[in-house]
Amino acid sequence: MSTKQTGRGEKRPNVFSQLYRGETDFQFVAHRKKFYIASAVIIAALAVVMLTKGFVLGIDFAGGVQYNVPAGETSASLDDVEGAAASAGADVASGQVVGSGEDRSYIVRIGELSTDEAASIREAIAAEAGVGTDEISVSEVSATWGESVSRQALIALGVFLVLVGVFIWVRFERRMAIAALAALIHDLVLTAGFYALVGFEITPSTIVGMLTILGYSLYDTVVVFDKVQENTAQLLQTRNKTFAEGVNDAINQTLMRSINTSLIGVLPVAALLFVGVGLLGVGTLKDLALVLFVGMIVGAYSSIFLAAPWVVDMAERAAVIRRHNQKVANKRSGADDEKPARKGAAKAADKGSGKAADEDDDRLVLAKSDELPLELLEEPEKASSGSGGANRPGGAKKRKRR
Amino acid sequence: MASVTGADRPRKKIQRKRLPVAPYFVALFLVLAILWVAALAGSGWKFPTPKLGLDLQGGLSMTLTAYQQGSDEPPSAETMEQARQIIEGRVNSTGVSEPEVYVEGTENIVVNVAGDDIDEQALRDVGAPAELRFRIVTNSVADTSALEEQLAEEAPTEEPTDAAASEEPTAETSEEPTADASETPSEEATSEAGSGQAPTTDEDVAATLDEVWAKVGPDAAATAQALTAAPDEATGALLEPFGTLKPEEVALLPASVQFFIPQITCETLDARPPGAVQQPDIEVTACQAPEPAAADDPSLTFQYKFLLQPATVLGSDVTSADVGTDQANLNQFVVNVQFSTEGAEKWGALTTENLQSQVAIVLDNEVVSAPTIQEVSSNSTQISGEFTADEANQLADQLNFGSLPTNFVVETVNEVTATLGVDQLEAGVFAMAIGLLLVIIYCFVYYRVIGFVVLGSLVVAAAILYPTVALLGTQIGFTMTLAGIAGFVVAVGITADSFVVYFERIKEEMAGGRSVRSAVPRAWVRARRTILSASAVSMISAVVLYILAIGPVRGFAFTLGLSTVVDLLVVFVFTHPLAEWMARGRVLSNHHLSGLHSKATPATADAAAKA
Repeated sequence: MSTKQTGRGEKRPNVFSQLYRGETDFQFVAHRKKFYIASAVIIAALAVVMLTKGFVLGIDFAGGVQYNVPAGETSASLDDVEGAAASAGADVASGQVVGSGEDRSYIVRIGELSTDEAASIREAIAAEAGVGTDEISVSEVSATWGESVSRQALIALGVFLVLVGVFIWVRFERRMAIAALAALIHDLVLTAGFYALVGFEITPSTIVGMLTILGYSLYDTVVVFDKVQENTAQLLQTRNKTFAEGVNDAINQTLMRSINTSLIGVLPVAALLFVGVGLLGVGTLKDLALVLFVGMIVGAYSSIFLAAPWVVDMAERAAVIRRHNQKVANKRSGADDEKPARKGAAKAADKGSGKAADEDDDRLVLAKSDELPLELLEEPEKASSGSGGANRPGGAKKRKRR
Repeated sequence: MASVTGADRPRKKIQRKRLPVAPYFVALFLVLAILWVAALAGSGWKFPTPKLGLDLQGGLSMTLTAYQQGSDEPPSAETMEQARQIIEGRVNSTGVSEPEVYVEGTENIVVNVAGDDIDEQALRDVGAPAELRFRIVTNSVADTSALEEQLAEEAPTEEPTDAAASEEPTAETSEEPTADASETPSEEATSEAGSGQAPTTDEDVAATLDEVWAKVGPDAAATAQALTAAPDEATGALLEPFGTLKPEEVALLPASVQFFIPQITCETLDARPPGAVQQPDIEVTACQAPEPAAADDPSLTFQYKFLLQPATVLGSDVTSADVGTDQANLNQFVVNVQFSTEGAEKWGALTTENLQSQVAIVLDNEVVSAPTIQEVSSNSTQISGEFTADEANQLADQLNFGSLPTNFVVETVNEVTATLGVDQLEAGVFAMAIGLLLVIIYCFVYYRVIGFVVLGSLVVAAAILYPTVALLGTQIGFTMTLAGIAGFVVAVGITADSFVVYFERIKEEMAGGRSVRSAVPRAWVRARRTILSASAVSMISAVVLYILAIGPVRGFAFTLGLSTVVDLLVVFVFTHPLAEWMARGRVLSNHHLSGLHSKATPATADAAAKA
């Protein structure tokens, strides 16, 4: 199904220029099996990581230890005390000054610790603050992230997925709703797996990051689907392209959009991750930055490489699409012979599949898709603006002009 | 630059569709002006600053300590977790801020709230037990001790009564010492002694009923126990020692003694430690909030003291509570409660049996109101008690989130500093600034002149977001944590996609052979569809998460929804009109400047040939 495109490959200008003009011709759909396998392998590997290594829960989820250091008379600052705790091996979750004057005290909270660790950290803090070990009270603190928060979040998530599924179904179609949600699950699993692999602590920021990914993944998928729908709306009325080729063209046309959006979204996150966390050591944001960084890249990947091809897979099981693809194939094979023969073959195919039923199907599909506002449809050029830019001799001429 | 499809038609259409841009910019300007003025007004005409979260600016830290009656054992971990969730729910219900609520040790619950303008009393009240009881009034008497004191002193020192009056019913309960009370209260009193709520002076606090009797002396004790009605002058003098009792000592006395002895004032009764009213099966004595004694001087107040029957209808019979207004007086807020099936039966029975009697609605150890039962009702009732809107809301929340499984007293309330160091904050903000700078550089490289449109759109988005966040901080307590700020930066990055979709569309239209003038409006029609579809997904996500989720997830939903709305606003009233306007000039037609290549001449000629 890709003969027509591959034939023109070597005549193209460099890939960036093509990208810039939305004229690329990557065979996302034709090679979809490879991407499916790649994703499946990665997910399987990360699933193993998640199951064997598990997640490290932060103080907000697992609780931890709180040191209350009387600081009315000490000259050590909170930073000093935190530093002492850190050098004794503690991963300090938060430090605060409580009260003022004589009653001032430092509260340092640290994630889960063994008894030995807790004791040695206590000594380190006591030495730094110049107070007796006994004066530092140590108490266990619970998680702040209650089960009810998780439960409510899961309920909300369930409702959200159903609503978004319905929305995409109504706005686009059922197959796209399924594909979008499947891509979403793929993104979440991949991101969570990567997180487990890196082994950062899970904090509320991590969860918030995952939710952001959820929104982003769907958003990105919807933008791609919007183009797919636009390109395939008129597809069944012509005999130029198979459904798969139409989808592939749509992906190529939105490719630069996808790249741009992802870059614009990922750049601040990357700065946060590499400059903030890597160079400056902003510990509190590393979890958020990592989740977003991985999730956004995966989200953009899945929209292009998985969600749209899945729609093709599902669509190709429908009789309408199969017949259409058959007609396109007939037309192409006919084109290689003499023209009259082709016409005859096409007619034969039409008769064979039952013309009346066929048209009904076509109409059904058309009714589903939103039409452009009438005033924009008055020019016949519309159809060729969608496909003409990407195919056909125009490409060669445009190139010459530059 | 004639188009393929005939020289006249498209041009005519564009002429017709030419977008008047000025109204958009005026609208945008108005929106901006309103937001900034509102934000300035909200911050008291200073430069508005968003309310920052605990991690960035610190706030108040309150430690609540649990104490259980009749036991020195700390409550079980499950009880504490349950209590923590209820308290968290109550704190959360007050706004979109992100409080920290955690159990410390075995019997403390720490509540950390961000900000320096916290209503401390409201914060203290989140630890209120919120035990609701409906009790039939056996007897009532006016306690005028506060009034007499005020009159005597000329200078009305109504502070304590005033506090009790204006604050919504706070946590106090009478340990219901009837005749059999002497067995139970001993342990209760010991735990109370350490509770820190009651004035624990150096003086010893009697811990058992017997000790209380001993403290007032045998004469007073005997007189008190013999009382069946209000004492006359002579016996009244004998009861003088009761006036010196501490609230927790008073709590040990039998209800009738508490009721009949005039020396036991409502002020003392209101200060009894929390926790005893959970026993619904005994009599209690409780007071109503102070009422003005004279219409012309609100500082003169008296309270009604009630002797109340055992309760049959409890807070656990309530399924939901919400705030309404009194139909007679719309400024008067009331709390409507709905009973469960079982509760409705009990309430029906209670109202049937006691028609025309007074029923006291007791919250913790204060009588919120004591209406007379006028008719039999079952499913629901109304609690009115001179509430302000805030108080009514708080009571409804307390009832909705349920009563605490154990009692708490406020151990300490302290100011705490931010959990993150300043250097952390600066580093984070610096990194985000670099990120945004990279985005802007990329946009200029890629979109050239249109980069200014992107930059302008981002600036406008920031100019809308900033006052909005500041305003929400003052209005609904929306707080910005460092993660929240990062979230906004990322959300702006993600929603900058609207511009990208639009510009890519323009490029595509031009690649299809259109001039800038004709491509820009056409691109908008298609891009608008895409933008609206994609934003709808984000909005569904934000709304669902906001309605259903709690805690940090809710805060996130708010951020997402806000940035989506702002994005739509910017793209509709700024980016699009600006692009339309630029399309009329020559800048965009110069493909070196705009990066837009119109394939008009060769490509369309070719396309025309094809067609």
